[in-house]
Amino acid sequence: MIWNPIFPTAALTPWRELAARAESRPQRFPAVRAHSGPEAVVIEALLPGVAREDLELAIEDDTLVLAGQLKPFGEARPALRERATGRFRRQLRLPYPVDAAQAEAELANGLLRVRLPRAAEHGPVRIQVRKEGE
Amino acid sequence: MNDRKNDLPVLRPRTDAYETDQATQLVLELPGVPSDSLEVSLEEDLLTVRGKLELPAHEGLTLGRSEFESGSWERSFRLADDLDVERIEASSRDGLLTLTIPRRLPERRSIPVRGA
Repeated sequence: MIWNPIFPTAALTPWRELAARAESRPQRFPAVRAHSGPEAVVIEALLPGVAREDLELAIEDDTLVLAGQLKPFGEARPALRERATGRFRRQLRLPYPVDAAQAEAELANGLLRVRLPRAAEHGPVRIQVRKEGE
Repeated sequence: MNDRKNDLPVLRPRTDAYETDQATQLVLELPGVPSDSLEVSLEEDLLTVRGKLELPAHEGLTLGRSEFESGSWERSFRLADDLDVERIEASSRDGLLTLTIPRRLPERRSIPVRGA
């Protein structure tokens, strides 16, 4: 072995062991953070290494779909491999119908932020109760 | 030591490493860090990469599913003796930092053998 990562694992951990440890924690890709409010949903996702043209966002019924491809960095086989590669697809159920035409999405430095406004026609509708005699 | 920015949890960037005869190449995932705020430092043979993932507060919204949070990406690597730290090259794109550290060429000197 030529060099060793030393933080936070101890020095001299073989590549293979480090790689096994990385693989042993299952994690869905991409990792997401979802916020919701009365008027909109904001979803953030970590997409390191995904170029804009390799990312596809879609609203399917009540679901936001994040799909795309994590291209391998090069053709060589890495001596240490912790990063995932290949196609990914993640579906996130939305709390209410959204207006897809008004959706905003921004991907910068591998961080995606999507804002989905609540669809107006599906918002709560107030029913006026008439006073007696009106 | 009580610097507020140190309060952020430390996040460990996933890394791929490639070894060739010419160089060692590290590819680190640092999503959410603008290239101009990435920090790469070298102390003797210890190479350290740092960068902050700062997520804005979304006022009036409630956080539901949360699989990551603001934090400080950080990871160090001990470099081999045959790597030429003077010639490290760093580039970043789409939240990936690539560090290329060329190997030093072995010094070769031929020794003339005199005949009798």
